[in-house]
Amino acid sequence: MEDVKSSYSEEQKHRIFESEFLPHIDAMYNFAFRITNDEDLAKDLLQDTFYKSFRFIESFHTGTNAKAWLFRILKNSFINEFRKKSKEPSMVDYQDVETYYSHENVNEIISSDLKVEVLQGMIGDEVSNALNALAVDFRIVIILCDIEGFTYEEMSKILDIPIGTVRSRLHRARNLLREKLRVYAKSVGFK
Amino acid sequence: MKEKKTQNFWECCMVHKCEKPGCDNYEARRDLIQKIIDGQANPEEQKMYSEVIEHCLNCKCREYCEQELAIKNLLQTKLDRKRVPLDILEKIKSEISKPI
Repeated sequence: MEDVKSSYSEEQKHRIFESEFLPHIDAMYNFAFRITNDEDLAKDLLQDTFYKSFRFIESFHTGTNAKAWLFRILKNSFINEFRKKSKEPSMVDYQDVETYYSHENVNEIISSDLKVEVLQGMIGDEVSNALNALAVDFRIVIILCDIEGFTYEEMSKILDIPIGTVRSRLHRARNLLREKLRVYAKSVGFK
Repeated sequence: MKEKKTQNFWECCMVHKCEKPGCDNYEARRDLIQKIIDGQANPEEQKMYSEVIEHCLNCKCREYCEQELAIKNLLQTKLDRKRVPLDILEKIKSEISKPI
């Protein structure tokens, strides 16, 4: 939360909540569901986020990016309170990520035999399963960038990490997702 | 001068078809491709990309870029987007309407 506070009347708070926060509720519910993999937990996480957003509404400045502000609260709630409850034991050792990133070479990345036509023929469940099979920290960057369309800078603020780390994590996440899709395509006979 | 810089940047693609191991420009090129995929390249970077890679039909970087765009498109178009359940929406609204 930012230190500089605005002062809103009760009426203004409710108006901001209705007009700036609630329009993002579906996107946030989908984000909560994708990171918890559990419908009940996603509902709890969503409610918790919206209650906090209202409680700390003085820290929000109208005209700034409400969606990024809300996603940041949701992500922090997930990490601090919900992660241990979810069925997601996987945490990422970022040192490993950075080590992998710095040793990657071009051939490793572009040798995948996954054809664009095969990708285009995939159905939603296959894509969803591949995404869900990623460790949650990698899933989060893919959702924020590819599904929700946040910029690297916005993601950096939501995740509290430098832009360079956002980009390297995204790069790694995409390689892992592509590999999951390739293995799936091969298992069902695509060549 | 600028043309020479661009040519060096893509030399690996143009001359070696990305087969050259340990290419010095790999990281910079990968960074550019990532920005293109995410729509975050500036006009100069977009021009740099289109000037070379659009004409490099057998380039592996181009193939990689097309794969990444196809996956991004899959994520945007084939995943279910749920609506928040109405009872949860009502519960949230009711909770914040309560006097503190």
